[in-house]
Amino acid sequence: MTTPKPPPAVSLAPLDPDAPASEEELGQAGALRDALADPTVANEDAELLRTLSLMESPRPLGAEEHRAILARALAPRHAVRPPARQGARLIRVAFGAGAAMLAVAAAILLLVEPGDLAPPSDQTALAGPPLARVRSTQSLFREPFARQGGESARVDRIAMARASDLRDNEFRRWGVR
Amino acid sequence: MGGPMTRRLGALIVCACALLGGCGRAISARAQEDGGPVIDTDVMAYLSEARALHHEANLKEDANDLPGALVALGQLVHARKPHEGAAVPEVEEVLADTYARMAELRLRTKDVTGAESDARAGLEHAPDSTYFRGHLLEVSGEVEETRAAALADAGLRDQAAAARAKALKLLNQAVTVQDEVVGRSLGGQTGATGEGGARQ
Repeated sequence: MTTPKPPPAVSLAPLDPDAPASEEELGQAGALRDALADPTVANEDAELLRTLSLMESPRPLGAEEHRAILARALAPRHAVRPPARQGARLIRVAFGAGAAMLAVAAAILLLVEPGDLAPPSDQTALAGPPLARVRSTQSLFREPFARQGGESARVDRIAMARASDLRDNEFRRWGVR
Repeated sequence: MGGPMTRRLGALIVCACALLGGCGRAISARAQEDGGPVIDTDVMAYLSEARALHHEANLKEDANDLPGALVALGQLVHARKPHEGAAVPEVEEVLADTYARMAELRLRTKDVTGAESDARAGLEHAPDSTYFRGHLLEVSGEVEETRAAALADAGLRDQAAAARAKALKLLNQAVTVQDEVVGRSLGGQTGATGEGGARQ
């Protein structure tokens, strides 16, 4: 039966920021200074500081470095590939022609039936309450029409009610309401 | 390109056209399902024109110029309609009511045939049970009533009786339609079974 090891002792004494640097701290500070002065020196803290510095103000790429990056990125595309077969070329041509036809047909559809597609001013393009649409005027009248006459007054009422609807529609289009 | 390539390309084009045609129809159908056009300046311009012409007819009527009033209203029923090809209930109902007024005016000028023609034209613009249709049926009944009186004055008793019977039928239909509309507005209570109802 083994006895469990006691946990390492942890100093509970508060750190004193004004205390003189220890030998270990002085050594680490010197290594960081040397690594910052010479990028070839490996140092994790120096790498982190260098990365942060480049993020804040990246330096321009050198021509050689740029060329090397491009070469790495483009290498797979420049790899030697087998010559394209005749069938594959035909398929590409067919799909190209098909895509062109689709584009032309879509353009024709837009030109020929513009009314079917909601114009930008229509309510489909608007958020909020829907625009008032044409509808029966029956609800404007609460009782059967008089036996004779009254048509002119009814047209007045219809026109005034729809003028109000039109104003509401315009305000909604303008985003006032 | 060889034969197979041409066939493949042709098939692709046909598919593309079919796809786009389907899309077009779907868009059209969706537009129809959304309801009629939005109330816009075209609809309002027509209603404004209708209002102006009815007021012009009022002035002519006040001056006892019934033919002049009919000319103004005739201009309205022949005016260009907004959103041609789309159903605009406002336009249809204004036309129905305008034809009713024209029929009334023609009756006052003793033009029974013209009145009947106008009332019939108006009914074509009011196919559903609305006050507009009810009013037109009422005007149609009056037209037949006037015709019956004229026939009776001319000693044509049988024809006068037939015209009276037709007038009664039309007036009953008018009452039925009005009853339906009132019932609907009161929450679905209807007092009649239909336009050809049994009300006597």
